[in-house]
Amino acid sequence: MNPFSFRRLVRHLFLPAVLLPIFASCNKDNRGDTPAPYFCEGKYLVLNNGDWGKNDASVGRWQDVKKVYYPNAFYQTNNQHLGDLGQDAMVYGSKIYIAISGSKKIFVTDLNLHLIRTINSDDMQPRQLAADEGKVYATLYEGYLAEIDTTDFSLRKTKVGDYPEGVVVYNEKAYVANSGGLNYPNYGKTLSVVDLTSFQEEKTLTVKDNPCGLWRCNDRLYILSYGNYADVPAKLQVCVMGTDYVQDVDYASPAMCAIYGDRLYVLADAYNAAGATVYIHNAQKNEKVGTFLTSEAQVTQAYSLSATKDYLWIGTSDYKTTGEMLVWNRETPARYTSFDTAGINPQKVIELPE
Amino acid sequence: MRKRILPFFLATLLGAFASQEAVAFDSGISRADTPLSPRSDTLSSVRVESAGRSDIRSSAPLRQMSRARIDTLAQEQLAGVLNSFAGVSVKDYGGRGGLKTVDVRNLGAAHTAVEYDGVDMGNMQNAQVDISRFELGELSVVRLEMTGSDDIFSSATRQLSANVLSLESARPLFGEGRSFHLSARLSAASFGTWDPRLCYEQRLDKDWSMRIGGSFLYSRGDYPFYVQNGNASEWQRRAGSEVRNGRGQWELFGQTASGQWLAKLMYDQGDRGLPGPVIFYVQEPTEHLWNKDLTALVRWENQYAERWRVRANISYSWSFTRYRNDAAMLRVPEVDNYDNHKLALGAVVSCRLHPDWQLSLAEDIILAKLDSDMPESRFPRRLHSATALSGKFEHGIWLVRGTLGLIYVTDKVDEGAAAAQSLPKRADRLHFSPSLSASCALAEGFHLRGSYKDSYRMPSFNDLYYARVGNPGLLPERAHQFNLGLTWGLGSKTPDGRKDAALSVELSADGYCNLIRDKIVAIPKMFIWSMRNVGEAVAAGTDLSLHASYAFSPDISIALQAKYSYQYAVDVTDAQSKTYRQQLPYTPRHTGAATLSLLTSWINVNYTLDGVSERFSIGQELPTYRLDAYLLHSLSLSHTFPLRGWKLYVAARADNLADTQYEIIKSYPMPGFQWQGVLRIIL
Repeated sequence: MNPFSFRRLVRHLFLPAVLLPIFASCNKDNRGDTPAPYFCEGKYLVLNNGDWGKNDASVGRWQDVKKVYYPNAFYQTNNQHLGDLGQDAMVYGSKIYIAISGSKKIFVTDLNLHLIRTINSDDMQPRQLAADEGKVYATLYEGYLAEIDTTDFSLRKTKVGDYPEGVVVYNEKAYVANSGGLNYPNYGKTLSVVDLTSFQEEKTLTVKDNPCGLWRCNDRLYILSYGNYADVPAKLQVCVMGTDYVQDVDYASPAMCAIYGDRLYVLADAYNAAGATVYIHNAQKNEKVGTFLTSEAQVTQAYSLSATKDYLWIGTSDYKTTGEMLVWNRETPARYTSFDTAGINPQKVIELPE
Repeated sequence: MRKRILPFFLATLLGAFASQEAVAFDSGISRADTPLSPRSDTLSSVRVESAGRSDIRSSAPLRQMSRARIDTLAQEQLAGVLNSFAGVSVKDYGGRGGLKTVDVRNLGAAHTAVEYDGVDMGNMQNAQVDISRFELGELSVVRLEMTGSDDIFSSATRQLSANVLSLESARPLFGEGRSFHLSARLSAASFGTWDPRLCYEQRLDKDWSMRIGGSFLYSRGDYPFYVQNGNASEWQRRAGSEVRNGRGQWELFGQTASGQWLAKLMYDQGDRGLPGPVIFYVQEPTEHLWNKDLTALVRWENQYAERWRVRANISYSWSFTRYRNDAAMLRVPEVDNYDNHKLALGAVVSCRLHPDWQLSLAEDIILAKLDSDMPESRFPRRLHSATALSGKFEHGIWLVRGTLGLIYVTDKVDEGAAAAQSLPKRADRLHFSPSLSASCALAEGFHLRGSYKDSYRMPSFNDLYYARVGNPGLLPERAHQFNLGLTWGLGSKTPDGRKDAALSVELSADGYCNLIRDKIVAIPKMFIWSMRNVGEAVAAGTDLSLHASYAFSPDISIALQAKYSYQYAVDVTDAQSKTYRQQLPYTPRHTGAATLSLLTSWINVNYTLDGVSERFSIGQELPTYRLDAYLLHSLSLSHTFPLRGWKLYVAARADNLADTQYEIIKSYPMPGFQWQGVLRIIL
């Protein structure tokens, strides 16, 4: 961190260089050595999306009792970076799956973040992950749903709509949100329903413009569509899986959601200067329960929302500097703590099993 | 640790190393490069001196390099010339075709105006000039003026811009009995690079001459680079970095009893791959850029009665750009076309009221429009008027120059939604821009100088009207520049410009402080970014510049050209922000370069060192975003063989001898070792 002092510059660079030009190779290989085994602990993993083009996606580990954060844990453990744009992370069957969209890879690690396998995701950009019955599902931005076998890591894919984002699996069917994001201003308006036995898209459901986020509680599917950022607003909807019926859920300016059990948290007014609001919604009965946070909490620049057994997490970002993770106790909506995530755009928090 | 701003006096007392321009011996083609130089028919080794402009005597820092020096150094790239100027950095994205913009003292590329033969090459669309587009072989002088120009007989744009890069081509000079010149350049460089050039000059009659020339550049650009990624580190070759470019120009020069004419036509057409940032684990560049640029200029100048001088010019530029992205994830390849049209009318009138007093009034009117087929295009049209009233006083030891500037901009946009948005009040687009500078000669070859300049950078069309991101209510960026400097010169000059002493030294040391307000920054707002005036920055530092030469004999001399800059440039927008008082992105604390040249009648040898200290790619000084310091070694050789009736110029250069892997912009690796060989036949 110590910037070059003038004296050091003269002493180390100019004088010897002028007197005796040495063809020194500066910084080629000094990053290739294996560091000492890295210690980190904690039940929670924070995924940082990073800034486009900077190869700075990272995963940090947090110990909630000691409140200690171990930044860049994947790099420290495996001596290689995740790459560009960390999109999603998921725990399934004693492994962690990390989808790195810009680098077109899904990394599979053990619960201590040791790299087991790098899945190529067929040269496509993985966006969101889901899992069921020994298979991991990933939406690929190029318009596909991939199925990865967790025993031999083989991959096959099937066509869905344009620019799929969220994916949820239930009862032998996968539901994929076709955002159509890069077709702007003609955003997508459908969900693809993929039959997992035949592994083909069997039908589509019509939803609001630009559907991205999907959350599931039993057979209830919640869909968050972002609208067109102009005259068509963002909308939260619900669908009972198995029926084709999609209905609106009444929240104004919903920005992001997170679910744990039957508790769906809805963050609204993310960029309101006064502060965002987080509502609690009963996902099973589809009714509003109450408010978790009001604008009094002064949460501006909310970037992501995650829910785990004990905590609710709001990642904040200004897109240019490292993000801040705000942590609340879920039972008593009391602000527990906050910490710097040492990465840009804190994307998600996942909980590791004991 | 954060250093305090070095007191300017301390900085200047550090052993002022300052410099003026070209060095003693002339080993290339010489051309007088001033518009109103006396008609000379001698093609001899006349020193190239730009109308007596020297950094030593300027009231504000002036950096320049002449054709002769460029040839001696075997410098073929404009970026290479600019990197040797103290206070200047080139933001380079790598490769021959990579975007290169000029940043002076951290004000940003938009605050440096680029003028080519008096035509503003600026782009209303994005307010940046890509200097990789210019062909150094066409130029006779490259000059950069910071905080204003002492030449008040110049365009309003030049006088009102924070910094001006002037590129000039010279009128042809014909020796006795010669009525034409022909020069051909053959050049080959590493990574499959070829750039031949042909230029023909013809004397039409005693007052008129013309020049016609063309050049072509092809570069495969597949340089190897090392991806640093721990265990997954590997060597790769840059893909998608090829460039093909053709340029043609035609110029007509005329001399009248008391004035001159210039008519010029330039056409540039090319295409290049955009390799994009290096993303770990993938390398699939899919972007491409085509361009067509046409510029037409007519300029007239006249002197009346020893006292009045007038210059008027009219120019038209058309710039077409097509961008294409064939990424697999796009359902249909993205193709965007942009058409920029610009009509500029300019005039300067100068009056020498008194041997000591000169007054000038300059006006530039630019009409520009942007057409594009992007969805939600706004088709902006702009009227930009810049007026500069300047006065200069020179007497004895004093030189004082002051300018009152007025900038007025008005835009019109189509498209219902944008038109309905409230456009800013007229007053927001009308600005006064004063500046004042002075130079005072002290004893023993020292000069003391100080200057203040208030300048504006109008928001570009992209800043204002780009779909969703643009903000029509943007105010211009304002920069307040303060400069205090000490210069020292040794080795007097005779009236014809020759140095009569063996040793010549020119040093300048400038301390500066720039305050930037209303910085135009992209602010995110729920996936959609928006341009806002929210930035405030302070940049302070020192620029030291040295040119020294010593002649052992008429055949042998050595020369040293060196620069060093210290920059403390921090963000002061929001005290709660993590970037508060942290060094601005891509701003090194220390930058330095030195070229040692051995100039003989048989060969010129130059060795260059170029060093930049560590920088950060974001506004926080964190290890993940650190860009390492680097030091580059270069060697170049040149020689001109004077043969019977013609000359042969041969040059070779090897850059980055140590194959250092470095980046200027994060994730855009620069080439390692590369070479270039040039053969020029001059008839």
